[in-house]
This record gives sequence, C-alpha cells and structure tokens, in this order.
Amino acid sequence: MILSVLMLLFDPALPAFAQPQNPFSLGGLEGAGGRPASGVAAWLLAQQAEFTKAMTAAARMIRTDWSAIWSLAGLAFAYGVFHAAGPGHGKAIVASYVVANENALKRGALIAVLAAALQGFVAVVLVGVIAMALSGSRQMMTGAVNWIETLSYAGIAAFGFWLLIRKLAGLRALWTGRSSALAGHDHFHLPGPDEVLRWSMKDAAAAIVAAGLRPCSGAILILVFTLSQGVLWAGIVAVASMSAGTALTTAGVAAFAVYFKGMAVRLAAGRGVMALWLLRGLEVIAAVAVTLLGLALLTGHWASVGGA
Amino acid sequence: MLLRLVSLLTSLVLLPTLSLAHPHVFVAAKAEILYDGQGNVLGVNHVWTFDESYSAFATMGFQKDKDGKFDSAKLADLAKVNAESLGDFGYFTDGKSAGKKVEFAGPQNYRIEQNGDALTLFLTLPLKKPAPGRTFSIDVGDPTFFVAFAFDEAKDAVVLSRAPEGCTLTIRRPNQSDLSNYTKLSDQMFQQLAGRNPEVAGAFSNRAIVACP
Repeated sequence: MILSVLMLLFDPALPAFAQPQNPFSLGGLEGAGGRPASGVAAWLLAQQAEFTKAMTAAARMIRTDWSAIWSLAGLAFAYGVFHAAGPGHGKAIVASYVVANENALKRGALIAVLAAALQGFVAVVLVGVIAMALSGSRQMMTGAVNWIETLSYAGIAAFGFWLLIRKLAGLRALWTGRSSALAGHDHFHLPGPDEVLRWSMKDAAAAIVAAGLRPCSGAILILVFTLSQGVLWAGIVAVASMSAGTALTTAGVAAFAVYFKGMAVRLAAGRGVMALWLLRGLEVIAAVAVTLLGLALLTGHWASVGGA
Repeated sequence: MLLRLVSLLTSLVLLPTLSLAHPHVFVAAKAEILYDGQGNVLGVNHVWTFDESYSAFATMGFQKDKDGKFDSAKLADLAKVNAESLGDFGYFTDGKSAGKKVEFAGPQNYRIEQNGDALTLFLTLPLKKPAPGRTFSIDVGDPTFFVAFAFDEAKDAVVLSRAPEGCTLTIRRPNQSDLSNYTKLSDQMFQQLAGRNPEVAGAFSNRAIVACP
C-alpha cells in the first residue's frame, strides 16, 4: 500500500513542475505530462484520430443534410467512451470517492453520470458565452479554461482533504474503541434514512463538482467547430452524446470500485479488528490519493499557467 | 488474500491517474530537408496542417471577409505566437546527423495559410550549425501527445532540397501494425504504474531517414 502511494507521488502522469504550456494548448495542463503512446494507449490514440476526423466530416455534412446528426451523435458517444479512458474526466475522483464512502452501485453510477453531464454543460456554457455571445478570441477561451481548471483542481484537493479528515476521524474512533466506530459510520451497519440523505447529498454534490467542473477539450473543440459551421445545435447534441459515453466509462470505473470494496468488506467481516483496520486504512489512502492528486494538479497548473 | 484485495483496490484508485495518450490536436506534417549542395544539412522546412476543429478554435473571434478568408494580419500574429512558443517543446523536431543529435535555432520565415477550414503553418527551422548529411534523420512529434503529428499521406510528405546525387529517403509513419508487437499489455501497465517509460520511439514516431552515398 505504501508502495502504491509512493507510486502515485512519483507517477509521471502527474504534471511536471514548471512545464510550459503547449503552443497549441486549449488551456491548462490537459495532455501535458503524458507519455509516449504504447500498447493500449497507442491504439486509443489511433482511434481518437479517426473519431476526430469522422466527427468533423459529419458536422460539416449537417449543413446540407441534417440527418448526419445521427452519425455525429453516434460518433460522439463512442468518442466519449474511448476518450474517458484517458486522464481526467474525474475517474480518479469518482473511484476514490466510492472506495472511501460508497457501497451502493446505483449511487456510484449516478455520481459518474452527473459528473459527466456537468462536464458537457460547462463546455456548452463556455462556448455559448465566450465564442457566441462575446465573439471572444482563443486567448479569452484559454484564459477561462485555465481559470476553471485552477478552481477545479483546488476543489479536488479540498474534497480529498475533507474526505481525509472524516476518514481519519473514523480511524481515531476505531483506535479509541468507541462502539460508535463499529456502528455509527460502519459499513456493516445500514445508516438511517436521514443519515443517508445528509451524507449523500453533501458528499455526492462535492464529488460531482470536483470531478465534473473541468470541461473536456474534445467537447470545446467540437462546439467551436460546429459554431464556425453555423450548426452549433449539432455541436450541443454531440456534446450531450459524448457526455453519455463518458458517463458509461466513468460509471464502469465506479462499478468496479463498488464491487471490489464490497469484496474487501465481506472478507474483512469475518476477520476481526485487524481487517477492519486495513479497511479503514484503505479509505484513508483513497482520501490521501485524491488530496495529493488535487495538490499536484494545482501546483503543476500554477507553474504552467503562471509563466504563460 | 485480504492483503491482495487491498492492494488491488489501491491500484484501482491509482489506475485512473494513468496517463494514456490524449491528443486533441491533429497535424498532417510535411517536411523539406535543406542541404547546402555540398552534402551538409542546413535545416528543415516544416509544413504543418492542423485539423479543422483546432483551426476553428485557433481562429475564434477572427473576422471573415465575404470570400470566407481571415484577416491576414490576424493569421500573421497567430503564426508568430505559435512559432515563438515552439522552443519550449524542442520545435517538435529531433534531428540526428550520423546518429548524433543536432541543435536547431529558432524558427524563421513563419506564416499561416488558410485552406478552406484548415490552417497550415509554414516555418523554417535552421540548424545552429550545418551538419554532415550523409546519414541524417528527423523525427517529428509531440512527446506530450497533446498534438498528434503524422506525416502527410502524400508521396512528397518529406522531400530533399539540394541533396547530393543518389541519396535515398525512407519515411516511417505511425504504424498501427506495430501494435502487434505489444503482446504483453499487463507488463506495459505495470511499467507505467511504476513510472518507467517503455520504449519511447514506439509505434507513433514519424521519422524520415536520409542515406547518401
């Protein structure tokens, strides 16, 4: 476990410090700090290039033949599914949130879906306001995306920190041996309806915002392109469809997390206090991971944007 | 068993932070390798055509005239901004003379042309000092994979200018069939988790190799 946390700390997927912004950037860090394509990644790369070409062609066709919207929506959905396998899109946050909190598949999936919907919505609002209403420049758009990214990374760090404090409290309760530790916030015990509602509303909303605030560059690009072709409505349909695809992938990750957490809980059930410690430790690690991810993104982001 | 499960769960949390290739900008690249007529390489002319989505993004807010053409001053500004920030990314170009890396100076003669909905960036990348061109190669690509470069499909994607008689030119494009080499995907996964980069010059490098007699 310690090894895994160390791996996260030194994971080159995290942004390198003081990395300059790509000259063809859409704002912030996205894509920077990636690594050479190989294996599955290379395959995904090839798929994305094809999807992008096909989507552009479909969007152009809509001007003369509106029924091309079906192929555009279909392509965008598939793009969303594949694209969400890349970094970002809140998978880490949704999965960590689930490991730290959740046992319910439905709620984990719902959070994934709402986070993806928020991502699409933010992209539509950004393009609607900046590109359409203000006829803004790419610098204006990049600036806005940078600003939202800063906010979203700070949000991730804050969300992780909040989870961490709560999970540490759980550990402390286990340490002091209060019976509430085994009943109050325990996963073997079903919390009352009020408690479920209270936690789920607040926690879930925080997870959704942390995971979904940052708009996807792919969505912004298709919106700007359809706007330039005079068929923004088609771009909005495409982004909704793309979000549905992203939601599918993220929900898949959430489902995995729920499933494995459930298995760990069941295994821990018969194994006394030690197992319970491990389980609580796991939740703390998930919270630490989110906090570190947020902080690393934030510092990398500042280093990159501050100079540019 | 429990420990294994726990470590599995932990990896599950970490797995999504794996950075898979994530390109948003696609460039069809052409290049001209410039010889001095004496067998030395002076530099490279790049011609990079951006995909239409990125082109639309880059020209956000630009006014079009009645023929659909953008203001040329705006395009000149855009070319300047792009060219001047390329240095931070090694100009997306690696050059090797007889296996040794060569250094490029800043871009010159840059301009952007509009072709329909796509923008094309032209620029000259001179070498800091001329290098022997008997065996010379260039790699074009973005190591961060934000921009996916691929040599143009056309036969003349890479050409030589004033090269000695009898030089041969080999172009290697990103090749999907190379993927069949990656049979041990799980190994790759673990290498990536551990932060070790697998082979850098993988399936996606664009390389032009010149061999002269």
